[in-house]
Amino acid sequence: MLAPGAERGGGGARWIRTVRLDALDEGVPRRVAVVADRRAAWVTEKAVELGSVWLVRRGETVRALSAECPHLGCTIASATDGAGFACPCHDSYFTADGHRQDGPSPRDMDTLAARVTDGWIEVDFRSFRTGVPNQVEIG
Amino acid sequence: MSRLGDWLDDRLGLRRAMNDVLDHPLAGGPSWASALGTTVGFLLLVLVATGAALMTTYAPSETTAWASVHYTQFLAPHGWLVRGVHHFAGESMLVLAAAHAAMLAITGGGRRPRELGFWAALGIVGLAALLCITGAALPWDQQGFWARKVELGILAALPGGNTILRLAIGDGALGPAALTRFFALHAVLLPLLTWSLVRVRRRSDRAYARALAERHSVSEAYFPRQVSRDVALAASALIVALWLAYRMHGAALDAPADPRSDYPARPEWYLLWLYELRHHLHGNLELPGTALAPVALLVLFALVPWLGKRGAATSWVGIVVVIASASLVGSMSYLGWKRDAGDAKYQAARRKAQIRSSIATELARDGVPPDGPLAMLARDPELRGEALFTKYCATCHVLGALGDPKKTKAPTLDGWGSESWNLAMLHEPDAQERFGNTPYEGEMPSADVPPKEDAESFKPLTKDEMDAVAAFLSSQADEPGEPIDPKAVRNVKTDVGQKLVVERCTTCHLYEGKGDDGGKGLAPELHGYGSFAWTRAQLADPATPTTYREGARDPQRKGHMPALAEELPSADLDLLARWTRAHARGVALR
Repeated sequence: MLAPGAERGGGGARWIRTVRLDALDEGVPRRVAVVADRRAAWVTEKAVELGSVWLVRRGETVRALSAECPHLGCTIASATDGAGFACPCHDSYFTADGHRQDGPSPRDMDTLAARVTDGWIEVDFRSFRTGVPNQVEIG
Repeated sequence: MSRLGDWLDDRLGLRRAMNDVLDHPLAGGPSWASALGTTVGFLLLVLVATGAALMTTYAPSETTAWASVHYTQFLAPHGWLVRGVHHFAGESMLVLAAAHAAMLAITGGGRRPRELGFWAALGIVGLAALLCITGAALPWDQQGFWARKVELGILAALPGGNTILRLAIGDGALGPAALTRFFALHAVLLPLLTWSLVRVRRRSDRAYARALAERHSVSEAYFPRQVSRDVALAASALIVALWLAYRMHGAALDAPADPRSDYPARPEWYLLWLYELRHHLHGNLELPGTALAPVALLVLFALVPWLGKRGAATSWVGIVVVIASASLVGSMSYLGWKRDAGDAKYQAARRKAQIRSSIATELARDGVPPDGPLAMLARDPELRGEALFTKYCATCHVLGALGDPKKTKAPTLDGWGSESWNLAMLHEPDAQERFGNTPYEGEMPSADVPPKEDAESFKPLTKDEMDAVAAFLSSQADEPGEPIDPKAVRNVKTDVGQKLVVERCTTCHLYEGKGDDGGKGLAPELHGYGSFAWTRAQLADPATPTTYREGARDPQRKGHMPALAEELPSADLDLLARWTRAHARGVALR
């Protein structure tokens, strides 16, 4: 009871529909909400924002980057000086491709699988442990 | 009175207990260090009393925590005072517990046989910090949530940290389980532990004093000189907490915790030194260093009684350790504060967060719905409208502070639908803030400036005609009951304007569905231009005869407005249309 295991129905892909491919301009990053059902301890919520992802369109494909900072889990915003991303908590900077540029983040932004189905961008939404150099999935 | 006293005394032995306290021997005369220890215990009692009062209006869940604290702070009579005293008494306890431990270290108060009392005093410092940290999470506001998020992240990155984390908050994430755990820790477990350590310290002090008194046979009693110091210091601490609570009108309450926001997380002031210290630790040292620094300080203090000369009244090692740690904590706190004060980006983010906090506070005065404060904020037309505009419109349009004027790909909407906006459009359609840099650049001719080619057959509108057309178009945007710009001239000229629109503009535009190009053109319908219905239709799908017609979908004209009906539910389209029109007219929805 005191230390329950993380039961979050892990395993398998969780493809979540986000926005239409048309809605993205080539190479211009856009943060979109990831909306799905959430189960946490005794609460189940339908269709809530689980988090957000940064989407960058490259032609007909899309690169999806988790907006959760790999350092300590704050939400990564776009860098104020234009290209790339910045975390508002401890000033980690990332390039437009999500590569670590500056600051304390131990790894690049986490890339998520993305695909386009019927003109809609779908993202395989996952969370990873923060503060460690390699990607370790939670749940 | 004395009969009641006798009756109680016979049964409970109160007088003896009282005399036992007042006549108890002192170890080496009265001291302020001892008064500090008593004051820490007194503040713990104040915290238990105010905490019990706060529990009568607190409900720990994600949907109710913020709302109930808001109720305590702003609506319940004197709730702010109780909350403020609890908040500042808690922080005072941390400061005084640290001061007490420092004084004991300096005066050799931890030497044999008082080690346990000294360690208990150090433990109280750690517990007081944990009480402050868990307490700050309970309002479930942005400040408390994001500071805990980062701290738990640091903990999770330590070896074995995940196990501690699951024990501490019951789950890997800051969700409902974590909030309930914080409450249990803050209201029951940590206070009990603290109280136990206060008892250990007191027992240790008294045992030492008794032993000394037996050896020297004469010794001063607790009453009156030590009692007066205890009372003076405890009363001062309470007065300071009351004064701070009064000055701050309670304690701060940030906007409701929003796990999806990009809030600039910072710890509370007493942890700012660790926030700054983190900046000076790199690579593998960063997170363990930040987490272990406070533990290392406590361990260093715990060892002070074994370092240096045993007999001396003053421990030089203690002085060095106190000065070194105070300089570390002090300088790091100052540097951390300076770093943020000089960071324009952070200050801008803070201002944004403060605006959201005051909006949430105001909205909640009307009550918070059962699905919680985030749902309350999401349903607020002003905030929701701004969020929708930012997400769907501000990538191309500018309106007020939203959108980047250097990156516009669509007309600026400030004043859209007004006479002056229409006049500017008639005069210079391809200006940067209108069709310049949009897919429609070069499509609309000026109504009063002759074109470069074919200038001779061009018949410019006169100034009066321009005014009349602008006035008529502006009248199309009006909704019943909306205030009209006092400078507007439309009342006298709209019929003239309507005639001109039908005669001249329908070469390209539609008016009431009629135009010269057989419905194939690009220019939009002008009937109802800027009205709610027109705006709503344009947002839902620009390629209908109500606004811009099928030409808007032409793939050659890339960058035209998207059809938001595919992405947004009907209620959001209504709201976005209402919000955009209101803000174009310079009024707010609320």
